[in-house]
Amino acid sequence: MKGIEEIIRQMEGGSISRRSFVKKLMALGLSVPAINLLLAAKGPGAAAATPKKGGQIKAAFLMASTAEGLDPAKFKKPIDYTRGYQLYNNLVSIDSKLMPQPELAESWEPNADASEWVFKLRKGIKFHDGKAFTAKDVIYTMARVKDPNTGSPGKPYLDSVVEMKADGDHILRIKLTEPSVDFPVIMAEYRLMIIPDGHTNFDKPNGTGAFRLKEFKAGMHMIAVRNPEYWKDGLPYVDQVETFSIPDPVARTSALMTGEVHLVEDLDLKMYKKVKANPNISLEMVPSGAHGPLVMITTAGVYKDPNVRLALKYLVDREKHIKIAHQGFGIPGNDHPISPVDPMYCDEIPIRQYDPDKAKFLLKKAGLADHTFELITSDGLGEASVNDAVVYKQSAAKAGVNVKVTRAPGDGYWEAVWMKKPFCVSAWLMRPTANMILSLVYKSDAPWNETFWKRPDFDKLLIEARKTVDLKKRKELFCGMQKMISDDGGVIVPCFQKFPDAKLTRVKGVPTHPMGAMDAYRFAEKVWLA
Amino acid sequence: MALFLTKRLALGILTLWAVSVLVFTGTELLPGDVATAILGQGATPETVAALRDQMGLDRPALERYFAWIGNMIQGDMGQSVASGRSIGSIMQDRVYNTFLLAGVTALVSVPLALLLGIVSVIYPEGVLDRSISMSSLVLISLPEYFTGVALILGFAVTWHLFPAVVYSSQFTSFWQTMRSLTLPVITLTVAILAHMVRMTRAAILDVLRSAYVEMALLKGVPKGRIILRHALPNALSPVINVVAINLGYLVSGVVLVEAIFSYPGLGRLLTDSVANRDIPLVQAVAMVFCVVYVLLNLIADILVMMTNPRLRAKK
Repeated sequence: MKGIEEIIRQMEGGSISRRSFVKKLMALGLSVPAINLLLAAKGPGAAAATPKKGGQIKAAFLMASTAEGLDPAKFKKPIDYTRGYQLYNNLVSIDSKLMPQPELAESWEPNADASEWVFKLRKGIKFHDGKAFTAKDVIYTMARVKDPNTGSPGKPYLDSVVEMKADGDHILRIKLTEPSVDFPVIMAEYRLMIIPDGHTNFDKPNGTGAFRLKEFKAGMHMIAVRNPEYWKDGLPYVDQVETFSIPDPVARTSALMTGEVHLVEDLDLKMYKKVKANPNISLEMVPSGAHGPLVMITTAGVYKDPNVRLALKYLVDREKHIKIAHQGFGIPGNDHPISPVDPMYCDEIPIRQYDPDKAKFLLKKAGLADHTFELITSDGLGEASVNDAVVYKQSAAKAGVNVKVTRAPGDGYWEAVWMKKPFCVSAWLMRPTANMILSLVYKSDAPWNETFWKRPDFDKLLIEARKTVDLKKRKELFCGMQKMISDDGGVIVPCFQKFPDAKLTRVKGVPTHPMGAMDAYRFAEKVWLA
Repeated sequence: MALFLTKRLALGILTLWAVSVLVFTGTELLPGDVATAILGQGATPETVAALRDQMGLDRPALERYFAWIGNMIQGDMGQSVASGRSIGSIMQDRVYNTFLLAGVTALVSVPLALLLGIVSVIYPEGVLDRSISMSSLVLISLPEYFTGVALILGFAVTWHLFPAVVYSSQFTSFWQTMRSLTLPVITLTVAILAHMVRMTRAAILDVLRSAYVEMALLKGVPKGRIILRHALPNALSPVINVVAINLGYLVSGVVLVEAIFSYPGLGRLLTDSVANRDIPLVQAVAMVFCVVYVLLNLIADILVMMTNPRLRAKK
């Protein structure tokens, strides 16, 4: 049976496909049930179940800068996050369904209204320098992020924390000023990767992560090597991970096509077809919650009138936005910031359809039939932002409504245009929970309330939802909030974006995740090379 | 000779000073400031004010200029505001990488240019001369981002001969380093070769038209000897100047090539720090570029003097 062995080897090596594998075996006279048995034992599914040890992985990201470092409290970009996940662990991680999963914390328990939390920490875990992991380290990490002098972008997430107490080495009690059922998700925040108590020198990082630092040069690269004492059994598989940046999208894409890097963050979508056709690369477009809303300031000029806001929402041709502005890579939005990938997404609200008649009627009612709406965008926000504005202008023009698109320079856009001009394009990354984005942007006193929309009844629902532990009830509350924003709020959300997640086909063990490419940047500890 | 050198040196320092003023005012004119750029979408008036205060952006521009230039003269380039690291340590690797790329390119392109220039004057307007002229003119017309991407597409993506991107951890051995540098070096050579070839050719031809060459020809000196022994030394001074300009370009003008190959050199450091509004870093890199230009020109002047006895003679 030398022929069969040869074919099996080819199959395992990936040089022939499943289909030609079956064909060749049938040609050798094997019965279909026998082939199925072989496939189960030797096929791609079986191979995925038995990861191989060893090898080196290279991952290329967008921008690197000399400003980057290995202090989790100051992480800003995906390249920072991915390096952090190699060196450190959080108490909690978020899975691809956006549900919190235990990491350094074994389990957690809220009180009745979710204003107090008890985290049970895992025992027997050691930092890279051999020090044992305890609740003190968590408290130090959190206190550092909370301290305004640290200047951590993660600070707002901990503003509601009033008390952190260690109850022995492995119990942590946290008191909040207000209830938050999502608190475990906060503990999965990038900036809350756990560092040892008292640690300050981040040129010599010390974490509990699957890899130890070998070399780090800011703006150039980081090389991390396997931590042989990692607390997760059998992980990591690879010996070394190198992360660096290739800012130019074409260069990044060609580096993947030549197999020089194993994974890339984002690629040139103009080369989508070419990359997709390449048998050595697996490319998936992953639905996310990132969106570029058209923002109306609800306290300014004509946008004060809810009828005008609604009219402008009826002018969105969502399919066109997806097809033209996002090259087909999007999922329809419904003029609120919660995307269908979020477990709190409300699918009971029908998606608002393009309706020029309704829009014209509403504008006439407001006496603005001949008004010209100026929409400001910028190349600095990316090509899709400008295209969204232009597509919107065109579908409005078809309804006889004048929209003028103005391009502002990318430099200073957030200072001079955003939250200053009454109608402009904004941009939001995906947040892990519905509560987070609503608290950051839509609550009346939200720090980035870009629409200046203030509805006490909305705030009440949000506060209620934060303390509702029951999932079904909570979803109902979020549904109400989504409807409110969609009908009355100041945002037009044409669609949510899909982002590319591209890797070599021989890179295994990296599932897609709505929070970002490469398993939300956590690929390193589970990746292996076929 | 000494007087001449002192004069050139003084002129060089004057140039550096003028450039330092230009660099400083230029970076002052960038829209927005470091504080707003670092904070981005999340900037609030209080955090911006705090950051500006922390970075000393509130002091008058003149005061900041003198503090900066004073430190610069003492070799202290200051700290990067975005990372807090010392600029000297940030630039170290980048300077090495840039000079490595520039050095290898110079070693390849300068002898090649001289050779092609000399070969093409053996039979002026002959087939060889015309084809060298033609091809170098065609090549100089191709922008680097085209040459670079075309080379990547052919040699990296299709034939897998050389890497498509260059990063310093590839530099594990001499041959590995050379392999990584091949495509960027070819791209740069293509960009600067034509200028030097044509200057060599023109300068030698110019000398070949002079009376003493005609004399040598009439005396029966062989053509090769005329070109190498009589014409070339006299043609060297314009060639040296052109070479100096091109070498300066190799250090400071490689931003595009560094971007295409993702090469971690000074050019990328400059573009990164402009994007970060890391003004001290921008200023330091610009000054390094300027020092390189001034030094190269100084060296060129000295070499020209050494090759031309007439310039050395006292007037």
